[in-house]
Amino acid sequence: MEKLKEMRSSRKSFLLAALGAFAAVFSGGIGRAWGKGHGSEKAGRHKPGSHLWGMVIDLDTCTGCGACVLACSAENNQVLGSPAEAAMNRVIRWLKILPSQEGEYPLVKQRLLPMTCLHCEHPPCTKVCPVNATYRNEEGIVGQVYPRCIGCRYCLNACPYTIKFYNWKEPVWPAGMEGSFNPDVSVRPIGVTEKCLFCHHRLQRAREEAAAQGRPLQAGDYQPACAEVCPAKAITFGDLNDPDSAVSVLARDIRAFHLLEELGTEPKVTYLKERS
Amino acid sequence: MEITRKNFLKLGMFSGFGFALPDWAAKWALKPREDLPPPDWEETVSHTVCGLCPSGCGMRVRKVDGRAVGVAGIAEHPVNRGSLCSKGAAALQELYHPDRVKGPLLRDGARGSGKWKKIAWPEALALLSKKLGRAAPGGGRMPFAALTSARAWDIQGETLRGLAGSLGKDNLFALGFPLSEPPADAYEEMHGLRRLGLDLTRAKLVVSFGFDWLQSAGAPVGAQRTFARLRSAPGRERARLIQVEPRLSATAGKADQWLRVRPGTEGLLALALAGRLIAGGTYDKAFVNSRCRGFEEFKKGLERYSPEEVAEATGAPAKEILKLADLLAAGRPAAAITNRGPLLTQLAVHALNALLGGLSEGGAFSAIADQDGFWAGPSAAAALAARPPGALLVDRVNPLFLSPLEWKGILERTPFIATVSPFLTETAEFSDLVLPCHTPLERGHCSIHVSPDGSAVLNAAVKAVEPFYDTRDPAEIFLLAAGASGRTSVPADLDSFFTGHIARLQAEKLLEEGGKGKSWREINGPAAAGPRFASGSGKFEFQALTALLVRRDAAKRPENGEFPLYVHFYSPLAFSFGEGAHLPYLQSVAGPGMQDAWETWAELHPETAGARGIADGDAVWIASQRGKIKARARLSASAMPAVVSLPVGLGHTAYGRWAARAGSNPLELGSGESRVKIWKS
Amino acid sequence: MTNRPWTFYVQLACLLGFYAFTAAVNLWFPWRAVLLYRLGDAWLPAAALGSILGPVFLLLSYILSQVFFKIAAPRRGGGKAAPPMLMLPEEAVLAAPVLAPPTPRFLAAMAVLGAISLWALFLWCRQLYYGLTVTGLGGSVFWGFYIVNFVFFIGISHAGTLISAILRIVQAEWRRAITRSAEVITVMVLMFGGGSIIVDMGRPDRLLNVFTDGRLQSPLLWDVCSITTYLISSTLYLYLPLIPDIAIIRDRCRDWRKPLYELLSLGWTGSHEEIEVLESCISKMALLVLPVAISVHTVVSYVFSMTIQPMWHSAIFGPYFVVGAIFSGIAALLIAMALLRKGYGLEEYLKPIHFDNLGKLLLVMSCLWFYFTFCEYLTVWYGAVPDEMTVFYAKFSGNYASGFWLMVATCFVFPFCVLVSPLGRTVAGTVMASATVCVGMWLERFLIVAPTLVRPRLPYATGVYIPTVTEIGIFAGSIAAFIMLYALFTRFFPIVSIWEVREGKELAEAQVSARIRTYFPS
Repeated sequence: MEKLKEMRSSRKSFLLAALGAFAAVFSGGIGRAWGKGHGSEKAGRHKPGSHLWGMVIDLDTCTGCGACVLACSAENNQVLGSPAEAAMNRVIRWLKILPSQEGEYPLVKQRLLPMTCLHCEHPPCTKVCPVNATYRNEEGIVGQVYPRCIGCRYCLNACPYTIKFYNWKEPVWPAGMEGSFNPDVSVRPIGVTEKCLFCHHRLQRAREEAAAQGRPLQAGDYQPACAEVCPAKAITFGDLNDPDSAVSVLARDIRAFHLLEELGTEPKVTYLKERS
Repeated sequence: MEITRKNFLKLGMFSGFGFALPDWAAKWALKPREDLPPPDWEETVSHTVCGLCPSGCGMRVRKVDGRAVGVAGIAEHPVNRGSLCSKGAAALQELYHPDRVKGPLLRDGARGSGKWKKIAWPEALALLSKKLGRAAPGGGRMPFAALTSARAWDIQGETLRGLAGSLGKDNLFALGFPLSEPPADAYEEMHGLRRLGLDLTRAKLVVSFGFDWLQSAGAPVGAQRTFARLRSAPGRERARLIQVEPRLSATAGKADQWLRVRPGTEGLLALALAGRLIAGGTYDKAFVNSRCRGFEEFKKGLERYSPEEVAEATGAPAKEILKLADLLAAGRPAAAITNRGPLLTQLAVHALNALLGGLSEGGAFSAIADQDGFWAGPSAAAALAARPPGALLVDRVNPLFLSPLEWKGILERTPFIATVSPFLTETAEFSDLVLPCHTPLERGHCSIHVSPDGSAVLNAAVKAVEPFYDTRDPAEIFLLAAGASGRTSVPADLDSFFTGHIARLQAEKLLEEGGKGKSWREINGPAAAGPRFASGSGKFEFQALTALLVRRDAAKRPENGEFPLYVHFYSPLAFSFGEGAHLPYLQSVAGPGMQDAWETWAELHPETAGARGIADGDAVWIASQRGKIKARARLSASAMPAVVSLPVGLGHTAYGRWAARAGSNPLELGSGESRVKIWKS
Repeated sequence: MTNRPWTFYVQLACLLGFYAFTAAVNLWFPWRAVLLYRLGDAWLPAAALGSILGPVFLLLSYILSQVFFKIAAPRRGGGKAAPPMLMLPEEAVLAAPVLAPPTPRFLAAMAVLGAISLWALFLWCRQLYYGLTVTGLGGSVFWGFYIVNFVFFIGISHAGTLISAILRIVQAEWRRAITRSAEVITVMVLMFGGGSIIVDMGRPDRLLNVFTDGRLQSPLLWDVCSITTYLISSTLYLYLPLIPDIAIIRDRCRDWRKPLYELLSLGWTGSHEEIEVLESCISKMALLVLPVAISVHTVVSYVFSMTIQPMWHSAIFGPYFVVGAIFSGIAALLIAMALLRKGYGLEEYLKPIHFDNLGKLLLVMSCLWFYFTFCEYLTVWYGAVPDEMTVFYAKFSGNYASGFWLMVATCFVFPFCVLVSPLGRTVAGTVMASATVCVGMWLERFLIVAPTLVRPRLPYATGVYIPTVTEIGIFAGSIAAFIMLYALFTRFFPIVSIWEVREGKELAEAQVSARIRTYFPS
C-alpha cells in the first residue's frame, strides 16, 4: 500500500514536470511570435531592394528550336543520355520542349512549350522535403542541395509540373569528356534530385563581378544560359521586384499566363500566349 | 522521481539556450550551404566562328586554364546577335568527342572493313600527294575530284580550290543538302543564276511549300531570328505564315495555316494557285509584262491544273486552295518559298513569286553578290557517276550517308579515296586514307558568310583552343598536298598563306583583337549589287516550267499497288545537313513534336497504321523499290493518311559511338523515292 | 547494490538507455522548434510533434520504470532459489515448439525462406551498387513497388497491436490465445515496412540526414517519428505479456538460450504483486498503443494526401488507410493463426470460434473498406475534375482496370460472399478470404501509388511502370524474411500466451459472470 501511494505521487510529479516543460517552451515561442508580428516569414523574404528573379517565355516567337535545351544541358553538365535511358524516360533535361497538339486537321494547333522549373512562389516541392535539401531562397529561386538530398523522391512526386529530375544511376562520361564541364556547376552524384536553378552560379559570378567593380547588380548582369542563347529572343529574364524591368512589364502583358495557375503555386516563369 | 526533475531542469536550460542562440548559429545549423569554393583557375575568353554549319555565327569560348568549358554567341555579332542554335550550343561535345580520329589512318584490309593502320603525318601526306599526282586522265575517268561542302568563301576552301586547280579543271564539287537548300535549279532555269538573295522579312505573307524552314533552313539561327522578326518586330505588321506540307512540322505548327498535301505535290498546289491568280487577274501585271518571257504559254499550260484536279492529286480540299489563292492575292508583298525538291515544285513555286511581285523591286528576292564561294551544282553525283575520278578527296562531307544509293557505286569505282574529317564517317570508313582535321574551335578562321538575305560578314579568328590530337587544319593538308605535287606556286606554309589572305582582306585588326573584341566585319549591305536575271533574254523565263507542264500530265497521280504509301523526308534541326547524330545532347532535341530520340521514328496516321495492325511504338519495316529500313511507329492524329514521315539524320553505321548506335537512315530508301510500303516487324 | 546477478545490470543499462532516449526525444523537438522559429520558418510542426511524442515517451519510460523497479529490482540476490515456474501438463503443447528441437520440415522451410531472403539481399546489394536504375521506375513515376510495400507492410502491422489492444480494452476473453501471434506480426512486419523506405531511398548512406537536417514540416518526418514510436511501443507491448512465459521457459530451458531468458524474464517469480504490476502496465500500454497505431497509418496516408496530386490529395485518406490497415492486418493474422494451428497442433487453443470471431471482424472491415472506396471514387467521379478523371479512368477502365476490378473482387466481393454466412466462416473459409484480402490490399496500395504518377497533371511526362525482377525479388524476399523471422520467434517464445490462457481459464469465468451481473439491475 505504501508503495502504491508512492507510485501515484511519483507519477503525478512526473506528468506535471513534463507538462511544465512543454508549457515553458510553448509560452516562450508564442510570446516571441507575437512580438515579431504575423507573417514574419514573408517579411524576411522580400526585403526592399532585394531581387526576385523571374522569366517570361513568349510562345509567339518561340519556334521550339531547342537551342535553350542544349545551352542548358551544356551549361549545367547534364547527363549525355543514351538509348536505354531515353527508352525509360530517364534522360535529365532541366529544360525541355514539351509538345502538345490540340484539335484535328485542319484546325489542329501544335504547341511547343519550353519548360523549366517554374520557381514557384509557393513551391509544393520544398514543403515536403524531409531534409531541407530543396528550399526557396531569399531571391525566389528554388534551390537544391545535392550533398544533403537523401533521394526519397518525395519532392519529385509533389511537383505538379513533374519538372524535377532524379539521378537513377551514377552519371558517366567517356574519358576526356569531363574536360568540357562547366567548373561553376557541380556534377550530381547518383541518387539525388536535381532541377533548374535559374543558372544560380551565374548570379553568384555576376554578383562577385559587380562587387569587384564596386557597383550594385544591374539588369542584364545575370542571364541564364537559355535566355542568353535563344535565337528568337523569346526568353526574357530579370528582376520581378523592379516594376520597370522588361520581365516585369512582360509578365503583366495581356497574353501572360502561368501553367496550372489554379493550383496557387504562383510560378515565376510566365508564358505569353501565341497571338493569332 | 529524480530523473524527471533532472529532465525538467535540463529542458529549461536547453530551451533557454535555444532562445539565446545567436542568429548566425541558427543559420549555420540549418541554412543550406550552397556557396561555391572560390575559383582558383585562370579564366580567358576567345572569340571564334562556330563553324558547325556555313552560317558563320560568332562564338565566344570560355576557357579555364586553357580548357574550353563553355560557348555562347557573341552579343554584337551581326549573324547571331548573341544567340546560337542547338548545334552551336553543342559545339563542345564535338570538340571533346571521344571517338574523334586521333591521327592519320591508312586502310589495312578490305574497304569498309574498319581495319586501320596508324601512320604519321609525313607518311600520310606523302601518300596523298603520290596518289593525287599519279592520278592520270583517260579511260573516261576524271583524274582527280574533290568534294567539299557548299558554302561561301573561306580559307580552307581556297586551299582546296588551289589543290584541285593544280590537278585539273572542273574537278571541285560542292555537296549540298537538298532539304535545306534554296530551289537553285529553279533559279537557274528561270533567272540563269543559281543563287538569289531572299529577305523574308520584307514579306507580309510567307507561303512555304514543303519547306520546314524553321527546322531545316541552312542557317538555323537566321531562320529563328527571321521568324521572330516576322512575328513581332516592333513597328511592323505581323506577317502571316502559311505552310503547305505533308506533316505538322515545327514550321507548320507555328504557321497561321497549315495545308496538308501529299508529299511531292506541293508544286501542283502552286500551279493551281498560279492559275487562280492569273484567272483572277490579281497577279503582278507590270512585272509579268515587262520582265517575263513565255507567260502566255505558261498560262495555257496551266489550264490542266484546275483547283479540283489539283485537290484530287494533292489531297488538299479545293475550297482551301481557293481560299489560299484569295489570301495570296490580298496579302502582298508575299513570298513563296521551297527547298530543292522535285524540279516541278521548285519551278512552280518560284513562278508564283513572279506572279506575286516578289521578284520586282522591293520584293523579298534580290540579286546576291557572289562571294566566290563553293556552291552546289546541279548534281555532283551525276557528274562523277558519268566520269568516276581516279582519286577522290573528300573534305568534311559524308556523301555515303546523304545519298547512299548514288554514292556507293561512285566510291566503289574510285581507286583511291582520301577523306578529311574529324570523325570516321561512313565515307571515311570507306576511304583508303583518313586525314583527321581540327574541329572548328581548334583552327583559325578566315571566312566569308553570306546570309540568305544577301548580307555578308567576314570572320577572322585564330584558334580558340590548342588541338587535342594529332590533327591538322584542312587548309594545311591541302596546301601541303598541293606543294608536294609541285604543280603550284602557292606557299605550302599555312601561316603565311593565312596572313596573306588576312592582309588581302585587310582583316589584321580583326585578328589582333585577340578574340576579345570584334572578330568580324560586315562586307556589304543587304542590297547586293548584280543582275537579277542572267538568262539569255535578261528576263524571267517561264519556259522550263511550261515545258514540264506540257511534257507530261504532272497532275496525274500514279497508282502503285505494291507501294501504296507516300514517304516524306524531313530534316530536324539537330541533324541538319545529315550531321549532328554524333552528339548525344543533340539527340535530346531531335524530335521536338514527338519527344523521340535515339531512334528513327515514323509518323503515321492512326488509320493508316491501324489498317496494318500497327500500334504506337511498334517497330516497323518501311520499304521502297530500292531499299528498306526499320523504324518505330509514332501515331499522330494530325499526320496525313497514307503518308509515312521520316526524319533524316539518324541511322549512321559509323560516325562515333552515339551516332552508330541509333536509328536507321531513311535515305537508304532512295532520296527521290516517293512510294513505300510499311509492315509491322 | 552488491550480489546482484549480471542480468540486473544489463536491465538497468537498458532502462537508463531508454531514459536517455526519452530525454533526447523530449529535447530534440523543442530544440528544432526553437531553431526553426529563429529562422523564421514554420516551427509549429516541431512543437506539435514534440508535444505529442514527448509525453508518449515519458509515459513509456514511466511504464518501464514500473516494470524495472517493481519486478526486476526487488529481487534480492544471494537468497534461496525460487521454485521453478508452474507449467500444467496440457500446456506442454504450447512450450513444445520452444523446447523441442526443430523438425526437419521446419528446417527445410527455413532453408527455402532463407534462400529467397538471401537472393533479395543480393538484389538489394546490387541495387545499392548500381542505384535505382535497376528498378522499373522512370519518367514521371518516381515511386513504385518499394513505397507500395512500405504502405502494405505498415498496414499489415496493424494486425497485432491494434487488434490485441482493442480486444484487451473491451475485455474480450477469446483474445487470450491470439494476441501474442498478432503482436509479433506487428513488430516483425514494421521492420520490413521501415526497411522498404530505406530500400527505396536513393541515398541510404545519408539516412542520418533525416535526424541532423530533419525538416518537421515534411510528412515523411511525421512518418519517421510515428513509425519509430510505434515500433518501440509495440515491441514493449509485445514484451510485457511475454515476461511470465519467458520465466516458464527459463526454468525449463537447458541450452545456450538460458541466459537470454534469464535476462528477459526480469527474475519473474509469478508473485501476486508482480502480476498486479504487470497487468496494470499492460492495460496502460494497450491504451497508449491504440492512438499511436492509428496515427501511424494516418501519417502514412498523409505522405500522399498532403501533396496536391490528383487522387492523392484527399481528406478521406487518413481513415481510409487506417481501415485498410486493420483490414489487411486481420487477414494476415488469420493466415498466421491457421499456419500455427496446423504446424504446431494448436487446435485446442486456436479454435474455430476464434476464426469465426475474427472472420466477423474481417467482414465488418471489408464493408467499411468498400464504403470508403465507394466514397472516394464517387466523389472524384461526380466532381469530375479533369486531372483527377484521367487517373480515375486509368483505374476504372484504362491500363489499371484489371488491377482495379481484381482489387474490388478480392477486397470486397469474395470476402463478403464467404464471410457473410456462418458456413463460410470456417477455418478454411476465413483463411481463403484473408488470402484474397492480402492480395487485394496490396493491389489497393499499388493502385493508389502508380496511376497518379503515371498520369501527372501535365500530360507530357506520362510514363509507364513495369516493375523489374529486382523490385519483385526484394518484395518476395521481404515476405520470406518476415515469415522466417516469425517462425524463428515461435521457436524462441511461446506463440500462444501460456499464462494468459491459464489465467483466463482460472479467473475469467468468475470475472465475467461478476461483470455480467453488473450490467443488469440487481
